[in-house]
Amino acid sequence: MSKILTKLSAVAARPYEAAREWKTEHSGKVIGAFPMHVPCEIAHAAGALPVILQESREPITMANAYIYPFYCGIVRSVADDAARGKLSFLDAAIFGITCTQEFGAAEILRVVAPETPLAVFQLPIALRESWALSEATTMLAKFADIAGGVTGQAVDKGSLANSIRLFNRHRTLMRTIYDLRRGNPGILAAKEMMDIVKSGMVMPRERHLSMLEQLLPELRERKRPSADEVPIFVSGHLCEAPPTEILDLIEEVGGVVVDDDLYHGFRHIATDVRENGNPIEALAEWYLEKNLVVPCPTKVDPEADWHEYLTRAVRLSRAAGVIVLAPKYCDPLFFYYPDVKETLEAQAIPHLLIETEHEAMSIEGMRTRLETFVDTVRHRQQLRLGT
Amino acid sequence: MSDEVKKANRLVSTKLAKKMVDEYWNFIRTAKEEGKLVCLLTGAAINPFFMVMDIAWLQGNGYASRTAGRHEERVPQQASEARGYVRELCSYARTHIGCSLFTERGVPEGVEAGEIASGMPKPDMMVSFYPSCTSALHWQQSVYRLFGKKIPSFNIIVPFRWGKNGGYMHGQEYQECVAFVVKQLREFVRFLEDVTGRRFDWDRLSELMLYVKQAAILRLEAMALCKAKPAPANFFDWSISLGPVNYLTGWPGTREFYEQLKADVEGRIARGESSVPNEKYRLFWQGIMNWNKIGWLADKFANFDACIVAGAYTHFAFWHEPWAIDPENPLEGIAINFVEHELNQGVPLFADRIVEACREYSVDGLVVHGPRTCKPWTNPQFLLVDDVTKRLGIPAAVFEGDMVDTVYYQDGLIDTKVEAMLEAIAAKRAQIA
Repeated sequence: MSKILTKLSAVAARPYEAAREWKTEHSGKVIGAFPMHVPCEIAHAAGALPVILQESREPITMANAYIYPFYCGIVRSVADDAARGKLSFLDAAIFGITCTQEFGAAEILRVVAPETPLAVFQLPIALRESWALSEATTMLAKFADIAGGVTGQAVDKGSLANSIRLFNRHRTLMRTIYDLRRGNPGILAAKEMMDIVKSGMVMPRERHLSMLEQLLPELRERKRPSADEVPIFVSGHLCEAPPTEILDLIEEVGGVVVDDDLYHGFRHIATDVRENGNPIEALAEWYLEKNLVVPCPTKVDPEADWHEYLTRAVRLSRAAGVIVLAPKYCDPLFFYYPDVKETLEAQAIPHLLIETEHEAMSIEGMRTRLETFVDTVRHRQQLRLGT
Repeated sequence: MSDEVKKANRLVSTKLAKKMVDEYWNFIRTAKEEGKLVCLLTGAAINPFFMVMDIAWLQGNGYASRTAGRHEERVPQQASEARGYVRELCSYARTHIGCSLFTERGVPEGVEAGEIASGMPKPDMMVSFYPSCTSALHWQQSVYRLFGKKIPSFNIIVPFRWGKNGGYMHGQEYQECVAFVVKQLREFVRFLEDVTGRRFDWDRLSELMLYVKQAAILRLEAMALCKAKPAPANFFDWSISLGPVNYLTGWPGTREFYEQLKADVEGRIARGESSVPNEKYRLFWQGIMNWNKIGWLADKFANFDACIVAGAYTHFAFWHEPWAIDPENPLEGIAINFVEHELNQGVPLFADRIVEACREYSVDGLVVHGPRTCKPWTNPQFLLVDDVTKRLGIPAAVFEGDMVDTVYYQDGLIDTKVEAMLEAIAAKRAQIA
């Protein structure tokens, strides 16, 4: 395995260690952002290390005293990490409130980590209302003030424009890697691809970018290992990274992940920010317009439909089937899923819904379901091709 | 707990709402025949705006409650589950989406859906206005897609009161939140004008909001009478009588209904008549009501000799700040009532209000109902319980349930938890004695 990929996987496995190391090395400030849509460029422009908060794989313990168990994994996990002191390295945390459950996490942090300044903004969910852009702009401007207050380094147009350019380069490079994988499925395991994106959420972006620049030539040399695997599109899993065991299982049972719209995947890197004009306004526009590129079920947007996007993306990727990974208790995803289901069925695109949980998951049960699904899809392919 | 089976002494006057409720549902049922436009409202009661424009409004949560109240909820819930809506989603949403499925795609052969479940009219417009609840937006969007994305829709967002810079009904955050809602309400009026092709009659809104204000004041005055010991009415009475300040806001007869209700309660105080036969414990209910179980719960607590004297659901919403309404310029007062809505409050604000209410009503303990499928209600509950019980030195009984899905309801657990709480109260009293 590539040394760079090994390092990136290590960061993805222990996502806050890199931040703690950076903080010690640079005596810098770390600003945490609850997923998904808060633009981290702002914290970067203030001289902070922006860290997108992650779901830990550890069982929930202390958070059970603060929140019911029927909440999504990332909310309970972030609450648990905070209650156990594991987020004490944060100098501030920002919540853009993607959904109601996120309020729960913010409330718990307010109680268990009172020393950590919190910035709670309700970024617009209804994206096409007349006030959406102006409200987003106002909130992001306030976030810039707060970030500057945390670091003592004011966010000005120049520094923010520089951060936007850096983050755009960063996203562009990750999209290049995605294109490579689409052209040569299997040159990166699904877990490896996710580790690339996830590590980029928690590391200094400059360092991550540099590592990817070194990785790219290596990836260009790789050849598709086999043409026998069944090409699969992996969808869903907003906010939190899917369990890597499931990604590995898909490949173990004969699938190859050719594309995805995961948050720890293409969704996070799909859209760049305009580099001209007022950078705060550009970020606010980006916040609204990225939904036209990869629609998010957490948003209300009559101009973009996740199920229609998914169908197009699946066709473009030449995937033979879709696996929808859905975290238990993720309301936005499950409110949307029936439309995804009906659309994929109407389009004769085989799909499988796998519900994931923070704690107990029957991996062997999933193996059986995935095996059956991949075998079914393979059989249908063969029938279609007459082979 | 006594061996004798006791029943709650329910307020008889709550039945007076039945005539209005029946009129309203008939109004919905016949709206299309009478050439009216129908609006699906997901959220809080801004009916007066629709009344001004002669639009028939159908409140999604109210429709789900009505379906459950008639025990017709299981069939539409199964229909939505069959389509792929998992059971952990808001039960109001699942019930209403199921009814919407019947409207749009017909009731499948072999399925027996009740009259309400199968009789929902197709909306001509959709409006969402749900303090703090993002699931309501996704619910509305699900219905929007189900109806082919052709129905004009409008979303009003109520910004959450996190509780920075200022407190309840004062401070910069409060003022900004109110101003933002007022701005959206003005745009909402333009939306209604665009959809109907008619001018909005602001004078008519003023008339209606004066009526709403009067009705709301009467309701609050009636509820405040339960500070008396023993309490003449209880939280279940107030829950049953919410319709006239919820989906019936502004409806003719609602002010008179609360006048009668208040007189009924005053009469009980004069006669020394209590809500539970032998009030030993006074409790505060934090959480929404279990609509399928309301009568049954009322009797259960009567058997515990416990009166739920007040609750967040009934006392901190549904036009709970009528004095803020200036009928001549009602938008700000309307906005205030929803910005300071119980579900829209961060924990510090919410806890302060519960503590104040518990003191005013001489509360001995908290009953905390965690509705399994409603995150706005359950989000803050553990934190609230911790804060309020410490500040007041009272115990709490926390149990899971749901608004309209009985699968999440376990009677035995409620008994165990409530009994334990009451024993704790009794033990503390014995100690003090």
